[in-house]
Amino acid sequence: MDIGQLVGAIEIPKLSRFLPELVVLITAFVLFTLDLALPSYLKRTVLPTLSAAGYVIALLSIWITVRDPGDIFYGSFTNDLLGVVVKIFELLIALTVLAFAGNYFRSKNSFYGEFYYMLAFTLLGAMILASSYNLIIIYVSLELVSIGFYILTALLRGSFISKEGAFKYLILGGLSIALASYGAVFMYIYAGSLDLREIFKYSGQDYHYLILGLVFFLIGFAIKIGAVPFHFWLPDAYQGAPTPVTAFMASVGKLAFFIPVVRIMPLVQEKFAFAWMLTVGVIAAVTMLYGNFVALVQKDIKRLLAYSSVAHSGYILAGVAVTQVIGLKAVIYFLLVYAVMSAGAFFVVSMLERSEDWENQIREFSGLRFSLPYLAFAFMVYMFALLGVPPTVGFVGKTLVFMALSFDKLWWLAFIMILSTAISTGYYVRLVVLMYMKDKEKEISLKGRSYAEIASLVVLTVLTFALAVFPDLVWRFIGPASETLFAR
Amino acid sequence: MDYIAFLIFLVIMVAIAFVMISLNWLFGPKTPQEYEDYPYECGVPLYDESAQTTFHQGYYLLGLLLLLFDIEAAFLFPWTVVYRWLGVFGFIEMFLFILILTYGLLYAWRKGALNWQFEMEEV
Repeated sequence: MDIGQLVGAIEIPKLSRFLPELVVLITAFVLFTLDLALPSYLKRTVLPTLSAAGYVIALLSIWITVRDPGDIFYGSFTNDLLGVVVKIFELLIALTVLAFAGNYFRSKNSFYGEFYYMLAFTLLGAMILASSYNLIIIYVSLELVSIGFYILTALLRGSFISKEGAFKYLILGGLSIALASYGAVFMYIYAGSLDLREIFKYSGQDYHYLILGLVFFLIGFAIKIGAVPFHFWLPDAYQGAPTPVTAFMASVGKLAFFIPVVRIMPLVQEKFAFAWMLTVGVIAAVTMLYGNFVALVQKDIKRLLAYSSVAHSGYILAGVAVTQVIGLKAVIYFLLVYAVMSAGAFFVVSMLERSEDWENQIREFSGLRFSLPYLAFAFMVYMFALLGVPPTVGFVGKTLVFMALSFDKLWWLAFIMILSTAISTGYYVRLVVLMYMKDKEKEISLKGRSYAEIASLVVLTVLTFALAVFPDLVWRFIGPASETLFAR
Repeated sequence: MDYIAFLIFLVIMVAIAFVMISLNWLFGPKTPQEYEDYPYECGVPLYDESAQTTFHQGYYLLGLLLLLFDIEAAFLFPWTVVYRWLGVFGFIEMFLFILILTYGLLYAWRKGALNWQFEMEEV
């Protein structure tokens, strides 16, 4: 093609479909500039305020985006209902992260202006990852999210395990991105297109390249989401990272890394329904069992929650294995609510860490209800939600996945899921027992609680109940979103 | 079998090279020199006795900055070739690209990566 024609085909993008991302991008650059220009004492108030303002504007701008679905940037960015729902949750959780981060870093005596704009850039990557079918855009935003996480993990001054976790994450994250991009190359060779929808619509003679590409691509993502043979980095990175960052990784990170898999899922199932069911099912089973068994013996609360995160990847993957539209709905619902409850659990830990001699050990939870009754209640709610006790979102999520499995007659996987949930009772309930039925072991007092923190915890706790009692709040978006994904 | 000649040629080549080197080793005069095994470092005496020492972090930062502007140049050359056709669009795109790179340099400058007078006792 002549270059003149190429330039002639340039169109002005309809930026209204890209508005939330654009707002976050501008926020990030403004934060970056201010971090370089402002003196240190001003930064501590200006940077969090500005990021919060940016995220709120981005949230509001979703009102405009949601009315105008469609592709922009030559089909490389798809603005659809799934992307919108995911973005709302990502932005909400990023706002709550800001609420906790300030006090946390002050108590650890480790302020970095980098935190605020790396958070914004990571959020931007996660938002773009949530709404793209284009292999190159997926690759670039995957890099953006991952590099952001490596840096955020290391941002704890004077902490060795923070650097160790970041380095392990860097090595395995690099491997995963290398594998994913290698897989993308094979998919491009197969169909001659970078758009995942076109790749799967194309029916070539030779499936080998497609299968090879898919395997590499999905192994890359399996490392990112922490599915079991590839989970080694996850507990170390989650333990080492500053706790608000861990909350961000466990919620927004998991959402971001799962959404491309969710988008591929109905496309692959058209061609390889049985192979997909079997492979993903086996990985899901192994992930659930391993995560829950290993979590049983953990002594460190952050490692325990990290292994619980691995186990939850397994539950979500069990839904991914299902080849019916109900599986897709269950997966999206579970992903959204898992983001809420895991973020809440890590936030409670990040508040406790501000206490003088807190060492993140599980035994320190003993008798927490005497010293901090409200925080103990919130933590109990999140533990019950992660376990899946009825009035909470965890129950609805697990029921949905179970229902989806029954639609495909995957009874063995459903059985393993129930079994591993039973195993997980061992550690979730132990924490509740320690907090509510044991005597106080040590005095825990928190300094400087801010209203933002309390408000965020209240919002997350209310969401943990509300999304279960009134699932229609998100279901009305998830239903049509998965129907449109499945129709392709 | 068409390429058997090449195979024979290869064997002869390797054999001759092997023979030459062994002859050299057998009959050559052996006068040991003091600086025979001494590593060559731009003609100056070595700073460190062995290669297993640590470098100052500044070297890596310098390497990264070098990379930053190397890549910038690599992207600028093809742009200049097609600049006439790209017009305003190309100008804006390249402006944004260079702006982001400038941010990188600004960051390095403000965070002190351009201070190359290291305190050697810290090393």
